[in-house]
Amino acid sequence: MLTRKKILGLLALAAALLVPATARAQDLDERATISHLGSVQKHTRFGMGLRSQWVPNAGYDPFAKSNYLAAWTFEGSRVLLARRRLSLAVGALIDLGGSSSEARGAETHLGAHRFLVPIEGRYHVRPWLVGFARIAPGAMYMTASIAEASAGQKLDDAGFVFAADASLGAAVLFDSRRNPDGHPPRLWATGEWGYGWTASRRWSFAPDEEDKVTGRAVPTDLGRVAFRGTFFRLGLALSF
Amino acid sequence: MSARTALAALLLATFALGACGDRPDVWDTRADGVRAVGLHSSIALVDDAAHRVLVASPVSGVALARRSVPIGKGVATALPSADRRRLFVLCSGDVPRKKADDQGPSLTIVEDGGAASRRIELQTPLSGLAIDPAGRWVVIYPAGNGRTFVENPNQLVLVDLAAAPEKAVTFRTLRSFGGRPQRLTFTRELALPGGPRHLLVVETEQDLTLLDLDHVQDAIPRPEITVRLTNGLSARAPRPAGVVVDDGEPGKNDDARIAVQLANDSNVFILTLAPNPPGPAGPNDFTPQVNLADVGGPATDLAFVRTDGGLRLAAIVPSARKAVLIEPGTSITTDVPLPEAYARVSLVTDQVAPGAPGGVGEVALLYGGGSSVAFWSLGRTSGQPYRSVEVVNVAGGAAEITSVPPPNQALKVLASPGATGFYVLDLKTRTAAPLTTQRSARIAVSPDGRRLWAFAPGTENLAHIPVSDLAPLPLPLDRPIREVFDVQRGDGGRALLALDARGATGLTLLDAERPDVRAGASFFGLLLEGL
Repeated sequence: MLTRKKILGLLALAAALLVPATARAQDLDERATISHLGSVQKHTRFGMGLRSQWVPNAGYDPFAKSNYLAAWTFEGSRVLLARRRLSLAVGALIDLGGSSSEARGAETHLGAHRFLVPIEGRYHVRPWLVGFARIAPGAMYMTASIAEASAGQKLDDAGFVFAADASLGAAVLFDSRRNPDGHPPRLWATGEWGYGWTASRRWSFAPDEEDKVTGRAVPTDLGRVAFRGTFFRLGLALSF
Repeated sequence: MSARTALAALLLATFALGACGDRPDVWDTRADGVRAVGLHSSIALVDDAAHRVLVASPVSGVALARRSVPIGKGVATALPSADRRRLFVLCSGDVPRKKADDQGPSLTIVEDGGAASRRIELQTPLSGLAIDPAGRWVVIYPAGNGRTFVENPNQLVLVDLAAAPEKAVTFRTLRSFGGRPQRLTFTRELALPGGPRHLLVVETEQDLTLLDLDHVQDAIPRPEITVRLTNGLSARAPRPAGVVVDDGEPGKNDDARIAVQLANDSNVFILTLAPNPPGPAGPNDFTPQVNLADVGGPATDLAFVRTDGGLRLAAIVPSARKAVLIEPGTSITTDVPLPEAYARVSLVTDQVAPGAPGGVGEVALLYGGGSSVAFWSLGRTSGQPYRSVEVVNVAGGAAEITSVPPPNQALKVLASPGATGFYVLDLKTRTAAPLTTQRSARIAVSPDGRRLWAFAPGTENLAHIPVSDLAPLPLPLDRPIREVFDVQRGDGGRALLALDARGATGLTLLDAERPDVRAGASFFGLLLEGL
């Protein structure tokens, strides 16, 4: 499980890699120009990253000591339209998030997974620097458990809600801009800031198995939860 | 902005994101050790760590409404009213108060069901709470475990629950001769020379104080009356150990009496609340006249009784295996030898012969002895005191006695701590039906008087016992039971709530009138809800 310390370490590593790469990129032989971006602009891209979201919601409190929610991101996209510096890409994105904590002495675990369809407008400021705006509708699957002693077994809840992200970001080409007419692999670093939204859902925790005393366990109501808040995402991507 | 600057800003913001927004502290507290209080139609779980009371009310069937009522910090005491329609929660607040927004002490009054509550801010964190059985007054006093650096043990805070909020709280400091309050007793309405009065009787380690509650909020409040308890023969201070009150004969206003038993003295004090003597009028319109009676040993219980010879004070003296009848006007005593060293007395006339004319046929139950209880027929006392006592043997004794409410008020449950069994005493037939348990059990009597619940705390053993036939029905819950509560359901039926205090508290809800475990419902993690 990702701890805050690990996440901050990864962010620092990404920055250390990214900043020199940006400087280096300016020195490279720029075969691709703004007038002929070729596969630097029109490509299929696969990436992964780390999403950090602030979730100031009472329904999240039992599952984390802070309002921070981390998620691994896996995404793929393809440019469908391109005109001069502008392009439009559509893809698929999965955020696999989670947290573990204790709630009044009971161990808790949460999974918060987004399945989104990002629709992304890109603008090449430089051949090696792309700004983008993205909206990503989809769904979130939330699953949680509480090891509550009075139940004698875990209490669980899971379900889907509508989810959407809106974000702005930038992608920096790490090195090669050669051969714009071909499709060599190119490494990108991406950074993104935005707002993640989900519909709210009532937490309703019930035992896995039938209650062995009465046969009827009334779900434990932990109120409503919605994963809404600003987020950052830093990642790496390969385009072809 | 350069790419380098943008990245630096992004990192900074991410660091800030990770550093802020911790959850409320309550999630880091444990939920075990919660206090549960049974009310008329709900149970209240006093969740001190979350500064709230969670009120759970059975609605209908197996539905259970839950409401969270905020209270102050630092619960000192939580007690129900006599009719169990209210819960009083006394909180000390932040002690010491260091910041402007630190919380002060408070009293929160939670109505049954939790739909309404009222909070009264206090000045000093005190820990003792005495509740008027009539529901009008609450008195807050220092109970000896205060958290402040300096505390005046004779400071009382009187809360008039019938008054407007701005006039509800009155502070009084009792005049002291060195004692501090040990026990507070509210009298019912007494016919006193100045009119009907409600008194607060405060016992200290050495004296007794009477406070006229009906004049405590006067512009010039009437001072309390302190009665120093001494027999004039010894320097040792007699220690009050309980009081009983009698209003006297109907239509008379000069014969209300308060009797005081002493823990370390063989005397009993009787105070007659008489008119003030002629002369300058005092601030109070009655004066206690003190009589002493030596009963031959420390009395462990008192009761005013009507015998065929008139009003008497019955004093139970287990060290001499006797009861003593005291004529309150003259202090003339009559010894009644008892077959055992009973410690307690309880009048059961109304249960044995409801509506019987006063003064004739009064019956007292003697208990707290070794292996029996006794019926003491006070109407036949004169001339044949010994034969007026009828013994019913109960092996294991009866240290505790619990009344069964109407319509089965003729029944009493007799139990002793640690005993593997209990008795159901029928006052009319004077029989004691034994019920045995495999281990030490606690008995809960339903407020509608129709059933008993026996359970062994910390185990899964629960049994339903209808008082109609005393045929136990085992209801094993397969989870440890801490307490059980038989409460009124919203639809008019009755529900049993069996509390499991593991973790964040669970409970099992059954229909109390037709208990069937498979028709019940289980609730888990109640103290995780409503935060």
